[in-house]
Amino acid sequence: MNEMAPTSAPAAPAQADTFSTATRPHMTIDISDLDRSKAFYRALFGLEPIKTRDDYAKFVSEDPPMNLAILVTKEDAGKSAGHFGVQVKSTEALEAYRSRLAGAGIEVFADETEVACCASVQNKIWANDPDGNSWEVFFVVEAKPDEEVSCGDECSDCPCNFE
Amino acid sequence: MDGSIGAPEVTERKPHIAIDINSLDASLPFYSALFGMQPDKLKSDYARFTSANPPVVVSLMERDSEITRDGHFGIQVKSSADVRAFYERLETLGIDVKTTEKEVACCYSVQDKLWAVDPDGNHWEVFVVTDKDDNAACSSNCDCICYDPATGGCSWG
Repeated sequence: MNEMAPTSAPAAPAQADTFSTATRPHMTIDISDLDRSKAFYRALFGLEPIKTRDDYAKFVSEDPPMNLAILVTKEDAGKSAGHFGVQVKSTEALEAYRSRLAGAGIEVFADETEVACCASVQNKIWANDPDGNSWEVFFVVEAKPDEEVSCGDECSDCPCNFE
Repeated sequence: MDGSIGAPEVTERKPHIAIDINSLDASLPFYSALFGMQPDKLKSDYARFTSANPPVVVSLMERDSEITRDGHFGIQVKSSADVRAFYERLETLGIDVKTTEKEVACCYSVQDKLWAVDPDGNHWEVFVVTDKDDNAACSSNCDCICYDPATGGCSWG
């Protein structure tokens, strides 16, 4: 780990990444077509990528704090395991996402109201990126930490029950 | 457990990552070490880490089926010292850090970073971007994203 010992400051501090939170999550999602995926993520987050290359685009967001990269890896990237999402704090915020996605021509698979899922009660929408990666935008209406409401496919694996 | 890397943050929205895993028991030590906390919700087939720093909701969902993976996940920090703090926490808690890298040009920026792999093969990096513009692409070599879709990844288990 010696190579990680503090040495000099970055040669050009102005070029280092800056963001407001102390740390932020990062995701790199494998995709098969940059243009069509850029359209999806532009609509989902309502922003332009800050960096675009032939095989790569990076979306950074202050709220939600996030560094999301999409990377062309193969012709049929397929769907990643699990899913991704944005947690919001109100039904109004959820509606803003739904409207933006719909306005961009993105299919929103479900408007679910007060669904019991993953040991809580949530309002949520689902949309799939062009490679099938599932994104949910959700508002936890009621946390039910003591209940054994599991994450069945019907609540955590869009769009299995919508197609 | 050291949760002192940086200060807590409060944001209106949080990203969410739900990861399929084969064994909750096998995965809990890894994610507890990575995020420096115990899950705030734990069920027989489900664990949730609601992390303030980084602001993220990570869920682990136990599945019997074979786990597929693509891409990778990470935590972006602001200094090499922060990367080292993560390294020390992971190693202290018995998590094998696969490699550390200094000033590696990768994915069109220059970074210091470490890589660790969860029990199902999901790759996590902790990184600081020291120069945000570089011409180096995201090679699948182990000195960059450490994942080659054609072969299913590097030799890390």
